Amino acid sequence: MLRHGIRNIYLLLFAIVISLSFSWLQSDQGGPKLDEVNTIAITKASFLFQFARSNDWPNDKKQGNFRIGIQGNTALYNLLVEKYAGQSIGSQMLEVVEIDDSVLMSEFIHVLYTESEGDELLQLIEYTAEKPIMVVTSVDADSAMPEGAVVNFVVQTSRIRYELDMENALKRGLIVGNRILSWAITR
Amino acid sequence: MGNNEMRNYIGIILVFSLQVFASTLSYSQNFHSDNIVDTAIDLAEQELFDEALKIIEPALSNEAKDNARAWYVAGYSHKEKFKREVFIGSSTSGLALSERGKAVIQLIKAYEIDSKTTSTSISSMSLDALDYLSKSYMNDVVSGVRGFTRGMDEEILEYFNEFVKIRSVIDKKEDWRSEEVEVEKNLARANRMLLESTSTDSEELFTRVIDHYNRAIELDGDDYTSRYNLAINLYNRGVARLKSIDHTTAMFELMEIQDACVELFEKALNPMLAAHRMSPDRKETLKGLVTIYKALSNEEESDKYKRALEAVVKADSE
Repeated sequence: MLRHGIRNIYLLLFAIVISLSFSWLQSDQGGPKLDEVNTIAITKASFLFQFARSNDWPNDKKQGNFRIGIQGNTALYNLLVEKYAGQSIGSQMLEVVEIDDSVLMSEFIHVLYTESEGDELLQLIEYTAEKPIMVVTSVDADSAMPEGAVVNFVVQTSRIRYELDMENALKRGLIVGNRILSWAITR
Repeated sequence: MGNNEMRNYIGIILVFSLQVFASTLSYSQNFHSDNIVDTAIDLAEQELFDEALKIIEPALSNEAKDNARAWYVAGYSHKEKFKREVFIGSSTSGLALSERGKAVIQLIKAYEIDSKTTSTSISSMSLDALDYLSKSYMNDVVSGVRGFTRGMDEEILEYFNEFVKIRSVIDKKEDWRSEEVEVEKNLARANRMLLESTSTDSEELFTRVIDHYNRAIELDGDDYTSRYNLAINLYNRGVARLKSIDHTTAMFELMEIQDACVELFEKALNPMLAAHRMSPDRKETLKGLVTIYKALSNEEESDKYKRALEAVVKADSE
């Protein structure tokens, strides 16, 4: 009736275009990629920065750079450098250092994060005892907070939280800020 | 002739006259309607579609309301007007959409009337025209996804629904569910890409991503990609929130962000586990589980899937 021939050719071409469209829809290009950044390290880095910012150190430690030292966790060190290096803590420039024994001997560290356990941790705590160093540990969830540490990261309902030993903080001459105190947990 | 006989005689004459009048009226209506249709066809064949429609459309609610040819010529004329609009502009302009919508309704009506009795060529011609129109809708779905802009979701889904509606007239047995799943997945992807490209965060775009994947899963419970992609999007959203923490973040905000992240990581876990059950040796799912469990500080489970991943990688290399 109405231009059958032309219509049929047109419909055939159209069918080819549509089948190509379907295959385009079905191709899974550009799917989301898993972000593999270390989320635990980000969280810990954020806490360490809060510890640095919200506590108070003796006056003689308020000169030079403010140092956060990291022992045994390169990912955490890198994240701190990436995110917070260049920031200031009071009037001090923040410096992030990766800790080995030689660093500990030569420089004062304000916040010292360590993943050491057992004898190695005991040695470290002994070496830093009575110094105004905020020793932050991260031991197994089933273990108690290490003796001599000021702060210990723990996992609680899949979240990173921290416990605080106020007695140790005072022994070391550290004044823990209210904000840090109020968010600390007890086990 | 008695009075009674006379009354009967008059009665018979009256009934007969009424019958003749009624059949003459019906004949005259049919004749009139066919006449209108033929005139409209002539005009349509000369590509005078507006003129054809001026004649035929008023009749569709009166004398030609049951005339399949009349509905077909009206639908055909609107379809041709739609094609003209596409040629000079776009298939999604207001006028093109209106012409196509009318064409679909009228062609379906033509097919329904014609196929009720002995089908004529009107049925097959209506179906051919509907086939063309259905494909034009599908084409708009694909173009919409390709050139996606914020908030186009409903419009694209409407095109797809129209496509399915027409296809169900053409063949009731056709099942377009798997294509619908693909449309939902494509819309999820389009929204995600938009979310990633915008400098300001948008919860609305993220919600759309999640809703589209959930709908795809609802349509096809066996679709691996929807589940995997849903899990990745939820997980990455949590990571993005964590990454937003900086030196200006207050302690209470840090706690809030951490809570929100853990909630997202927990939500990501179920679809990732479901995807893993569907394809236990798939490396990306195993890697996903290693990562999600690690983010949830569940080292034991993370290590379990890490070992499984290492075993798959080892088996692949052997």
